[in-house]
Amino acid sequence: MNRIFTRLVGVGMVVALCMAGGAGWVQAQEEDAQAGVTDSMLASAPAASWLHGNGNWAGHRHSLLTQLNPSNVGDLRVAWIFSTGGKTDAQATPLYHDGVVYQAQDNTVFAIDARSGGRLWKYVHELPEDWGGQFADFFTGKHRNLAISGEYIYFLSNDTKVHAIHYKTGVAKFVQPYMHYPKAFEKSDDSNGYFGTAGPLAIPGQIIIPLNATDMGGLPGYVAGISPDDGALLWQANMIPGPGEPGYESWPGDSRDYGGAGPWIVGTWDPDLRMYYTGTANAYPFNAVPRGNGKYDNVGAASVVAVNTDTGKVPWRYTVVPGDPWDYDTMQTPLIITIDGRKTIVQPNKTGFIHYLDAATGQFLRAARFSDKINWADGYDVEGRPLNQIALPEQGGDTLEVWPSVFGGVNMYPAAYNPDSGMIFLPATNLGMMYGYEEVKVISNVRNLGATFEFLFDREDAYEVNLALNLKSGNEIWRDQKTKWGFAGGMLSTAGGLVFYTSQNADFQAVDAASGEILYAVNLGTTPKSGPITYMLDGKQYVVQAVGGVPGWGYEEHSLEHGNLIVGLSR
Amino acid sequence: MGRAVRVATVVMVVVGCLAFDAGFVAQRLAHAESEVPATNPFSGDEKAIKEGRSWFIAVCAPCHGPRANGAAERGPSGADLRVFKRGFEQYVHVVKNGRETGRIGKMPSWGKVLSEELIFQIGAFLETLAIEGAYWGDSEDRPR
Repeated sequence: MNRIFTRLVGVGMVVALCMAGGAGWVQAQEEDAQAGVTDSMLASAPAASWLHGNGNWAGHRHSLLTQLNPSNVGDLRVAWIFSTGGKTDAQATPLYHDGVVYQAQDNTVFAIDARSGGRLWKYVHELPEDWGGQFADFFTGKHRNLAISGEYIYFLSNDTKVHAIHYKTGVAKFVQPYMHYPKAFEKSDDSNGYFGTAGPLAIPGQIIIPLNATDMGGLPGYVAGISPDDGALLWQANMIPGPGEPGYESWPGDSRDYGGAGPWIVGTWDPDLRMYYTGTANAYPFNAVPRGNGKYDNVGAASVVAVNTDTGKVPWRYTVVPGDPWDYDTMQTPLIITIDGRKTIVQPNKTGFIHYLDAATGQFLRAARFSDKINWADGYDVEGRPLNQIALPEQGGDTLEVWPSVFGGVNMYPAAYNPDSGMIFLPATNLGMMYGYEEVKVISNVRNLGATFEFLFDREDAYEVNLALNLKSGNEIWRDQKTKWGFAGGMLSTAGGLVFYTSQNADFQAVDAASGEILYAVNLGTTPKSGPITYMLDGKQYVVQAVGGVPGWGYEEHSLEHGNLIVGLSR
Repeated sequence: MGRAVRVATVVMVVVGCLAFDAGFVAQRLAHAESEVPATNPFSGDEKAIKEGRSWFIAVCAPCHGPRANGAAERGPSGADLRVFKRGFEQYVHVVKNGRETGRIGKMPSWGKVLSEELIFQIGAFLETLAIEGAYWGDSEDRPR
């Protein structure tokens, strides 16, 4: 008995020790779970860190940092430069956390020492051998932003796979495919597919993933929510309404099946309404004839769409350009801003107008014009429909002069909003086009655009113009109008009273937010395709701008060459 | 030694097969290329030019621009085809097989997508856009 008792006691002690050890292990795990980026950090306005592509869930791109201000920003100097060696546009906005800048380029993720610009690790994803399809060269290598949550960086590779990469080691814990990717014409009978260029958004318990590039031959667009733990699909929301949803009848025949509406720019999230807001791409094909030739609204394309992130249901869609005859994607990030006590979706978009919608219901509130030259419509009526839209081109007939062009009054490059001053800053442009419809051809299940467009670069009123507006009134406060055409890469606002942006001519500028006075400028040598970020490290405020892109979309007047760099500046 | 001989024999056979295959492929390619006429049989044919324009707008203009001058939304690196100077056979070869290009991209291969007749018709349309320096004649005789 004694021996048995002794054994039992021994076993009990071992079990107790194991349990004690287990409790310690559990506690350590809980602490580990809190390591990295927590939900409360994700919910915060950007200050020392920059954890979302657009700074916060509401898409404001406004940092609370004040160290750099109008009195000292003239002392900025280049602190470090890192080259990603990229082959195409550097469209991604970097993230910053805990001494490290993270950036995606060419299906590679880089972790960069935020003090020195040295590379800490890189994660490389090889695209499949049969990769290809319509516009593959145009899209390949482009990414818009990363997401960070817990200890993982979430990266969407071009072949529609989500990668969860450890933020310190650069090792992936999962790689999850979601959609079929486009295949090379010569290697497949079906070259159509989805493309991952959009950036994800981290919210508590989810990573939101826009699945886009529906211009690869015609497919419907989606947003998906996945588990950050294992990549499991939590929900998938259709941008184009399905049977039973309002707007289903706005697509004739089978046109909804290839209708486009890819949400190709990251959206915003409201933690109270539990809604993700996204803009959507043009209806596909560009030629409106197969989609009803302007007589059908094609709801969901060229729209703002709200998705309930608890259910994946779509409570509302607002169609910014009914029937989208002009390739006016309205994919721009919808900002969430409280105006006169009402939570409002604010979207500056290709139409040349800023649209204001009720965030809860999608009700159209107003549209404020910001583009200098608009001829496709006179404005919007009280129902939110375009007023006096011009006649559509005839298929195979003459082209029409249309302003803005398919590049829009603003394009993918993000706006910024300062909640203290109530000012919104837009990287706008003024450009027209000659636009016409041609018969849509189908090759290997790929519909081509069915449209022709020629840009009016040589007009006197083709120029880059960066605008500061009072958001509530829509009135212009100042403008930085350039002599040549182009876009700035996106805006950054700071509580220090500054706006940072890089002009198409590669001039990185720090501007007095109140007056528009350019207080500091340095030429970074190549074109921007994304907005700057800012962070605080070792008591010093840094501003980081990724540059590198094909200058001017065929407009060669800037005399710049392509090449990708990430530049860190500080005092 | 016996094993070494066997290995050497196998290697020689494999190398021989590879050489034969390479020669065979080259022969086939040469044969395929030789079927392309020296000059475009659709040159100046109004109907073919119209059809060629329609297909050019559909599949080429996104990168080369509607005026074929390389100014386009989707292919800032698209070549200016108004000054294409390699001659007709080389035009067909590049369209069929694709080509690595300068700054960022490559011309995709369209040989399994577009019929030879369509490629000829697109060429006939492009000839109408030619400006000084362009050459659409026999590639063998092109100015160098």
